Amino acid sequence: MTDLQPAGELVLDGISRTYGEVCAIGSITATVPAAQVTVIVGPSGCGKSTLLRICSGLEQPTEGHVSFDGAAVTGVPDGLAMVFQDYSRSLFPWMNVEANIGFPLRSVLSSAQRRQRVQESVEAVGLADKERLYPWQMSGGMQQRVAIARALASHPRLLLMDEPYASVDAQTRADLEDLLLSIQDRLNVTVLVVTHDIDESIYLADRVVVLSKAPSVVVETIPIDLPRPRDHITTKADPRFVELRTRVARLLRPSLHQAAPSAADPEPTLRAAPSPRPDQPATTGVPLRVNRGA
Amino acid sequence: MTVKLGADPLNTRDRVLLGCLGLVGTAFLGEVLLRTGVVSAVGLALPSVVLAEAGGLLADDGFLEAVGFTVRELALGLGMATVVGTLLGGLMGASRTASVMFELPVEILRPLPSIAVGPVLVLLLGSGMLPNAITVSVACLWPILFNAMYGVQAVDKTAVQTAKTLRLSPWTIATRVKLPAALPFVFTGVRVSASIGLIVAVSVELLIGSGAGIGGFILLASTSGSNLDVVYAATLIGGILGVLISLVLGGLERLAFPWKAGLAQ
Amino acid sequence: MLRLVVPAVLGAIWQWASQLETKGLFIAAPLDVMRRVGADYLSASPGSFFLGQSTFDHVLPSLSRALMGFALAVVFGVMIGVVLGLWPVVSALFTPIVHLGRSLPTPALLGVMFFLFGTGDLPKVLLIAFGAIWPVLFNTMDGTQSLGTERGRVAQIFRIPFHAVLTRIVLPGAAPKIFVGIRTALSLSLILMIISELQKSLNGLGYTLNATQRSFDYEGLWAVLAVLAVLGVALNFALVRIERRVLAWHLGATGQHD
Repeated sequence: MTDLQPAGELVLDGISRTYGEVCAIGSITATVPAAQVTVIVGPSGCGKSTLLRICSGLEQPTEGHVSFDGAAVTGVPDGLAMVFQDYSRSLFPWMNVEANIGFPLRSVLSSAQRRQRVQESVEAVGLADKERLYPWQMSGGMQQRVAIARALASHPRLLLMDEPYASVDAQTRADLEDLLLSIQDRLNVTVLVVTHDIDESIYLADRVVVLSKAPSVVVETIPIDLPRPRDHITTKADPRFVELRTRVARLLRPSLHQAAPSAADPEPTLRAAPSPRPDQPATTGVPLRVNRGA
Repeated sequence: MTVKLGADPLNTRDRVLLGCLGLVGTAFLGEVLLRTGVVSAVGLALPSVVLAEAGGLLADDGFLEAVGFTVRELALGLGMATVVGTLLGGLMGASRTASVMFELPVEILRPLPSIAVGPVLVLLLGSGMLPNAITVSVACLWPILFNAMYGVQAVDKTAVQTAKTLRLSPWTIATRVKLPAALPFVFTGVRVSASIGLIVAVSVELLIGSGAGIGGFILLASTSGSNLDVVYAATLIGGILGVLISLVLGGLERLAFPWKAGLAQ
Repeated sequence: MLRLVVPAVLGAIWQWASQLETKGLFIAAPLDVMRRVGADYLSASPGSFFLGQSTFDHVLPSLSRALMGFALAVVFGVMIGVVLGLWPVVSALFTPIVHLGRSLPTPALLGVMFFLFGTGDLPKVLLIAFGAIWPVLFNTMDGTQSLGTERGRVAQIFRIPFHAVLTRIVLPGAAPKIFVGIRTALSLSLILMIISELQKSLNGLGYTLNATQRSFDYEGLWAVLAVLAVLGVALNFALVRIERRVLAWHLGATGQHD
């Protein structure tokens, strides 16, 4: 694809979000490296979606700041695209596939350019020949592809995805995960995905950021050194995959293992891994912050 | 310009406060505009005068009697419409045959402006509450009918099938399974018709011109000299009455059927 | 075939009622009514579109006033309703007024309208518009407010400009509920059309309703009723067709989330 812009790096610094009495996000500091896939994984209710909204500029943090490509994110920045979990509520039912995908480009590109972009995106997500259909005529997986195509068509530099595959069946999920990987490869986009699915997080990611329960903090950041290109059969049979998977699982459910703060502990202090692993380098360059309390 | 589509609605306290502010503010604005002559038209009344007049009306026995007449008329009309609408609508919802049979008359009679039948009814029945009430019931019939139909159709198929496997008679199924499930929808229909009903009640009283009810009262007031303030005041009271009836029915609905969401046409 | 059973029964009852001793005087027989409608409202000449004198004298003026009032109500109702619905503070300010407005017995204001705007078509059209605007307003507000947070977020993320948000998100999204209001407004318009012609009027179906009553022309009275029924059915039918076209996507999607 032509006229792609260089991807940028997303930096979160001490993000905290409190609603009245309730502290959803304790303190989150993390870096989403440029042109890589970073996946944030955490238990339900840890404020993952809120965090993503803060990254997108839709919401403001109570404390801390976000910057993308050096510039502070106060509103929705340029070059951002987002895919939501609930495709039925984010696509517009009165527009067909073409119209939905091209809608954000209306005031930005000429209609000829727009048509070409839409065509590219439709082909990239595997929906060629379906441009005239309406959302209600398509399955959940196909609708989510439309949402992804819409995000792609604007050639974003930052792609945010909020539990994008939670509402589709396992088969479709596998296909859509592969789709994301291939797209990221071609477009060189910085991708931040939020999910609660451990397997998915490792399969997709170049690095995984594990969050604790609310008030959430970064428990650990794990680089994923599995080879690319990945596929569901061989990658998931790789012993390294199993190793990483177990590690993340332990971090998410510390109550099941010793020497780890229990889930009921309101102030988790450090990484919850039971023992340091010699083959695992220290989490690169990301300072861990202690929960500052509500 | 920024707009947060689908933004969270304000909490109840804020909404009530702002609502009151809106009402008072608008009345105040109207008062100021009219008094200072920015807007002047003979025939527009000062809000303060209208309110004072309305207060006077509420103390007037004649007016209160008229209000009573209209409310009884509405209740009677609504009652008849509920019975007919629930039975017929329920029947149409439950039976494909009935639905086909009654489809044509319903489609033809429904768009007929209800007050048009008023004069004919008066000819047949003499003046009084009955022809008015029947006119009101004609207007109120349709929302109730359609809601009843929808309600019966929307009954959980599984519940009906379970009842059938228990060898319950069609009659029992109808009364014990379908009817209770359709009730919330019927209630919505009643609530919706009530506001239309009040307007039709006053309209038909105006049309028939026999001087009874709020409509009759207004008719007499507007023909006997230009006492427009009374007309405004009586209209306002009519509107407030409508809002009160709506609120009461809405409250009853929430009490009786807290879980439901009905077809509000 | 089954469809005709009930109409036939009703027709028979009508016929029987018209032959009754005393009450039957007020009820014109069905065939007589049809003949009268044909005589007054229809004609054999293609030159006048097969329409009769009474149609030109009464139906057309009535209908044009009703449609004008209806159009005003729809246009302004949607415009104001969208504005009121988009900002929660504005909604909260004006909701009680809208509730009050739509419960007002508008026909009562007929005298006021004449006072303000004299006689003629204007007060009638304005009365119709004033009465019919409230359901449109109310339902448009409701539709605008129920668009859902997700769609709003999409509009923000993709930086959709405000005018596009209005025309391509708000209006289509609120359209199903707006049409519910429009349907109510149509039937209100017809009722108000009749009411508006009861005083100080020289023509129209409401006027005819009154006039035939006063001159004991019961056949004429029933003829007007028949014409009103036809009018109502025709207008409703037209509206349903328009609605089906505009809301084609909604009919397909119903059953899923809005």
